[in-house]
Amino acid sequence: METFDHILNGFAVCLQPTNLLFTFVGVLLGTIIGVLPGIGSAAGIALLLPATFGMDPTAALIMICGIFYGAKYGGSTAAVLIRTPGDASSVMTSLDGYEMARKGRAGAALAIAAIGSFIAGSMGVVALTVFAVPLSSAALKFGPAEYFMLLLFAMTCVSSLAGKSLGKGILSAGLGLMLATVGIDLQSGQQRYVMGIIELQDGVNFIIVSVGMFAVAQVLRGLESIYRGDAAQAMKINGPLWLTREEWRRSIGPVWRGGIIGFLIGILPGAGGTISAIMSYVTERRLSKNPESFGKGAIEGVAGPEAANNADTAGAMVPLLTLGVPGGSTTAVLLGAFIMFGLQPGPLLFQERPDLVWGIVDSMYIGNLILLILNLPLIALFTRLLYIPNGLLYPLILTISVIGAFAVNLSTFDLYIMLIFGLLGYVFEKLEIPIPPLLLSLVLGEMMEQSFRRALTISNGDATVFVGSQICVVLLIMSVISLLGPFGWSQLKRLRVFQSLLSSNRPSDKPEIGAGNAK
Amino acid sequence: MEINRDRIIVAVSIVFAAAYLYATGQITMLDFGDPIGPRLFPYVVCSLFVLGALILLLESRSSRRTTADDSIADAPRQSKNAQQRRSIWMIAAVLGWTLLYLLVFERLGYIISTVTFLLGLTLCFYRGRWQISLAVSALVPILGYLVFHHLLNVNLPAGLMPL
Repeated sequence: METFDHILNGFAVCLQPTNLLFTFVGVLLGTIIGVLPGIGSAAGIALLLPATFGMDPTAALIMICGIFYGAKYGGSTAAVLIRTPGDASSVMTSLDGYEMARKGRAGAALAIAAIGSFIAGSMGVVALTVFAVPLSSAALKFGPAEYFMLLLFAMTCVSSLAGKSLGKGILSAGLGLMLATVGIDLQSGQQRYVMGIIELQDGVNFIIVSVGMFAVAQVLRGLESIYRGDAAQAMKINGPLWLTREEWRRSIGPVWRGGIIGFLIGILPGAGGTISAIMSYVTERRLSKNPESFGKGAIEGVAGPEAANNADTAGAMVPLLTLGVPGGSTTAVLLGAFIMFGLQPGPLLFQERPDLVWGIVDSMYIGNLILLILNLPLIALFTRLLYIPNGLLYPLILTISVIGAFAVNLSTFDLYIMLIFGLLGYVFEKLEIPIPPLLLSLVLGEMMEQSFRRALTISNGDATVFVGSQICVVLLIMSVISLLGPFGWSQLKRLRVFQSLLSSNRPSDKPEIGAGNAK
Repeated sequence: MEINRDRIIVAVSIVFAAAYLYATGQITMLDFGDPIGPRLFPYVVCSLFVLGALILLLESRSSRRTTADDSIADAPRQSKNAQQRRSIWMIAAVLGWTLLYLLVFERLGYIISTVTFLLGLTLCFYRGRWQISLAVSALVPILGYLVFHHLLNVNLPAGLMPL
């Protein structure tokens, strides 16, 4: 009953005129960020975070969360019209969405993307409302050792799932943890890895790193594609902006299924919207009576993945809000935003600031509704953003990045750090080293070290404290499975006997993700 | 090519881990108040990093056994390499121009430095329409200054321009 009161109070908070305005601003900015190819939600939030300094935390966090799920709506526009996902999780939409656009059904593809996103996004928020309280209550039993193991589990998931290579994932996470140890040690007051640079005493700021590795690196890649002459051109929207009765009938099942798949995968750390979308696409293709139509403009291939990647955002908010553990790069930036406002997401936040937590959750209902209203009639307006010449757009993003990075500490030193990480992000992309593990480790590193040291201090240095409870043991087993599972599976697949077994039992039903993404 | 890249990543990672390990050894330990000390966690992180490098080495060895990149003919490969070299020079030029911009950012001020920086980049990457480049490069920084400085209270450097 008390929870129900909190939920109702959350609506009272998010319906306040100021918060309503910031919900609108957040989802609008999110849609714009999503439409522009390349600037993902993580970079968008990192760029805009300095602008929220001095704002009321509730309004600021409502706006930032709005950018997160708003970007998923916008991401489909670039995927459909230029076959380049605006947000990474729209990669599957680019396969059939673009083919629909070529057949003059771009309007229908964008409409089902918006409607599917709304239905699944709302389903996800309902599930978030239901799951949040029991999970946060369970999390109250966590001590420092359990919390350390939980963070370790999140990190192993992201390291093993974020890229093709486990080794590169671990290297990226390790580098993030190394960066997190730079600065003055909180417990002993000793300087670590500062190298005599005063600005490094406060550590390496995650906003600067995010702006560099996502925004600046993307600008470098974008300018490179202009230089090579392979920049994508946007298609015009032809035909009506609505679905036929047949298209609607074919879409409704994929939307529901996508919503469920997206939410469940969203809860898992590391999986993220891209995997949700792929899972939904593969499921729809398996269930379809005409699987050969996928990749050639099947509306189910747009409806399912778009629904999945939107429900995924609500799923990703579950571990973030209840346990304080982000599952990907955008939620890592979100966690950083909470910490920046002096708030630590987790079970205690539900007890100490129910108005804020439920205000944010309830604002997602309102935000999804605003997004539907914005995206259906105004879609033609948003698509005009795609016609901004890249030769103007990327230099402008670079100057906005400079303002964003400078605004954090009003220091030119941060700008140099941003540029270094911009180059590092570009190199990482070329070498296929995943960036999310680095960012997640940078944000979680300090908390992880504090939990680690607190647990060892309590146990007088006895390391068995990390296997001292059932929760710890379960989390340890899950970490080992998440880390070694994909590696073991890939090694197993290399065995000739296993390869012949696989090829005789299963048709090749995996979509060519790389092909769709590259064009 | 791919295998060589992975080997280089492993080698660089090992050198980086060694440097980190050395720097960890230099952290002052206190005899009181902090029983665990500031070195233990970095040692654990360093072990994890080395483990990642070893796994990558293992992965690159097994991928060498299963893949052979002989499918690309010499001529297209040379052309691709030449294009990659040109791209690297272009990226280096953009980074150099950005570094120059950052160096003068506070001295010249946000507006003068940004107008110059934008003009340089847009003239290079949006060729043939210098009027649009000039208009965008002049107007956007002024608009940006008004929004960030006055609306969002971000103190951008005024530099030479009295604002």
